Amino acid sequence: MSKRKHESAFVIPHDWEIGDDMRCIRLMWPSSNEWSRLLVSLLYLLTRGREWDKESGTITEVQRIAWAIWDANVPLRACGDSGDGSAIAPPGTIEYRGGSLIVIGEDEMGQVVTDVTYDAATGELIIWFGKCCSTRITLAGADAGVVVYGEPELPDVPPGEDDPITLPEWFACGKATEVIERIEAISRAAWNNRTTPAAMKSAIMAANPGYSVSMVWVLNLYTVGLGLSALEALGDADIFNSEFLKDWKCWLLNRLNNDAQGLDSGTWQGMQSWLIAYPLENEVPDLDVVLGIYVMNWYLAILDVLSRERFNQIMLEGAATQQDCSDCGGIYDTGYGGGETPPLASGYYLSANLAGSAGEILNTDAGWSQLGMFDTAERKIYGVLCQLNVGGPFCTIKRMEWDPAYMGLPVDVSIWGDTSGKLAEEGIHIGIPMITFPDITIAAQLAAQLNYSQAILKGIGVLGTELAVAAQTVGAELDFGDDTFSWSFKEFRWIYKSGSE
Amino acid sequence: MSRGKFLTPVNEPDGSVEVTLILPAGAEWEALARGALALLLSEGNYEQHPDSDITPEEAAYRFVEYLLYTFQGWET
Repeated sequence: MSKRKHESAFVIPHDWEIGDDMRCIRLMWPSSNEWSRLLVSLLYLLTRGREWDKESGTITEVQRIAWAIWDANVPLRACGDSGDGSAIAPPGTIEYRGGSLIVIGEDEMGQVVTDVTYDAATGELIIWFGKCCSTRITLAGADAGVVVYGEPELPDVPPGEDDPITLPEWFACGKATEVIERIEAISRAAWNNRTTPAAMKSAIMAANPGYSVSMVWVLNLYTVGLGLSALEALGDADIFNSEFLKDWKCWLLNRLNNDAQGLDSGTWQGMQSWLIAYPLENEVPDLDVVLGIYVMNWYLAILDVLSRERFNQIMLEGAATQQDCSDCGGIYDTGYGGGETPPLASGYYLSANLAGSAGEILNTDAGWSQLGMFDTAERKIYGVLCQLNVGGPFCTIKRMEWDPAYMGLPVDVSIWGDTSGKLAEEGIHIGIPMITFPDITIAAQLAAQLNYSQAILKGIGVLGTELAVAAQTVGAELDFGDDTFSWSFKEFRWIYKSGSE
Repeated sequence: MSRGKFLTPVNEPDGSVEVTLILPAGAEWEALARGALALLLSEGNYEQHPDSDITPEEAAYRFVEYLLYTFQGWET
């Protein structure tokens, strides 16, 4: 991620603390929603840590004050207005005008909420991100979820059940799990029928239906099996050690793209090297070194029996099956293996700020970005999946898997965006979304469904305060199928890589 | 200036209006607020919106009058 150096920054004041008196100032301002956004943008600017001179005080403290100022002022109110509806930007009056009004970071970009409409026919709330994209929120019903889409519309279905293409978060996990389970099944069948090569071959074919195996490779496996059997006196090799098999699955998981058709030759060879180097002795107490070598030779022979072609077939067979890879640890990583530059040609990627943790999660492949999140109440990880289209990004938020490594950590979520369509070489337009709801009841329902945090509400600008209040009023639960949870996302960004690090 | 820039508004405002701004009652904070508002006076802090006929120079100029009025009435 590029770092920006400021030529100027605000000096942090030291003459006020939260709880001290505030003062009301009367400003003369252009009477226009659009022009009012400039003032809102200025207020927002104060909440950004990067705008402050870190040498002059504690940035996090001044940010808290800045958010208090924001809360006190947004939505903007005319003088004498109590904020009961006659604010400068009254609900339902803001129109999309083709652009956001502030450029804040050269490395940030995302969606801007430009309007909200209500589809009475379907009972859905439609949040528009410019002219191209919208989010439909079902205001009633158990399986609400959130689907942000451009074209085509994403179905709101559990991953892997009806339309695996739209919900690829299970792909890599499904592939890795299927492969390892089948390897174990075939391996057990071969081991239990190592009386003769013919018996072993029959058992393998029974465990690997519809696919023939070469007797040459079966003989090789049979030979290794004989060696293992002969060495049993050295101790229990625990050939099917569960930790080893899990590690193998996780190794695969972190190297598979959701859209990958299989392992390429380099990864195939890499997996063989990983097997040879695997420290089985860490999992099997008192493992004899020779036995350990034979165990790995056994699995190398199994791979030869299967062949890379068949291995990849099995992998794809598991792609559409929802599996649990939370035992692999870390944020669920199915697509992008890491690094600073995700392979998104469009130049976007997702970033998450997990307060108190390493900070950033990137996971992209073939245009998809995946962000693992977690819920502090139910302690499950949720995912924000986005794909960038010509018309703009579309995202879906789905439940994912829980990783105890992130348990209890607050997650900051906000959605930033850009509607200008301009990707300046030196600056990125980040919008201060200016939306209001025509009906506070609808906003409250939305808030109840999403339980947007204060941060995300702030992120969507003028509406933020309203939704925050509504969320507090209505409650903080989202009925997500069988699970009710408290939404605790706080930071969710589209970040644009300008290419000028 | 490396700080982000404001895109010029697309539409002309419909007159003017007084807006309430609630700030920390501290001299340093109020000075900072005036300084932040003053960012709007510099055309260099704007970027031309492609759909707008209002140039950065014009946008900045508009705020001269508004902020002059505001600052004059700003009792410290």
